[in-house]
Amino acid sequence: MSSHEFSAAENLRFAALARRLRLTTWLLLALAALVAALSAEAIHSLWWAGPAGARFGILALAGLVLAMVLAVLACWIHRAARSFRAVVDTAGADVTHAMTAVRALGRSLRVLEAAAVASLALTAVAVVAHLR
Amino acid sequence: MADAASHEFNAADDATFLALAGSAARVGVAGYGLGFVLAAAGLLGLVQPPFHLPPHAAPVIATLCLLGAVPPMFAGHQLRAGARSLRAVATTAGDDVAHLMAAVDGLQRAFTTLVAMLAIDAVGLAVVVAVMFPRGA
Repeated sequence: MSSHEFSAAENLRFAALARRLRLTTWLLLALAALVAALSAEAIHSLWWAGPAGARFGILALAGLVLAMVLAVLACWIHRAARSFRAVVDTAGADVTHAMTAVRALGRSLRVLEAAAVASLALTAVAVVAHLR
Repeated sequence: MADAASHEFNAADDATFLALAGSAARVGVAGYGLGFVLAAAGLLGLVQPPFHLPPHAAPVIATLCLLGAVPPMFAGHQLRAGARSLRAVATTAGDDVAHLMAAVDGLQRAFTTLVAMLAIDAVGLAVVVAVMFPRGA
């Protein structure tokens, strides 16, 4: 099973996916940094506005949670990229590396799923709060 | 090198492929949903700008919402195509590597779109930061 080797043409396709995943990782980290900067601005506004600016605190907290989710997502996608790259760069364990990559990608998509469900729930709460 | 067409993944691997296929399909649906919400928010923002936003910020944010709606829908479509190939790895016999490579291509296309989407989001977020927190305000 693990002795199966992918062909050179197949390796090119794994390498292309690994490159995209690595680029995705860097962009996710950039987004996390921007969101964290926005949260820092909100904390700064909260500091100046005092209790009247509670909404800034909520924004800051939401931003920090989002930045953390983006960083976790980047971490799993980076692991998947590394394993897909290992399929190309190493010999003797292609299937093992491919399955490690598939599992890491699965975890990253589950993080995305959880984030989507949480966003949906928060949107529903916000809509209900707005209508009341 | 083993014959690619003859390689079959075992039951544990198939379960992993099925789990990834399920997640990819559900995230694909979420992509459609996000695209729809962004498009609706963008249209609403253009027709009836929110009163609490600075007048110069509302059209910028609405346009960014409309632009940002396209990539998630496209990525959602591509992820669901990749999910179909991943499911085929687990549910069919005799052509596992071909299905896996089709899934790899599908995922590569989906992540290419995701890269474009994240780049737009990063630029959009930087613009929002600049509009909402102008220097010296």
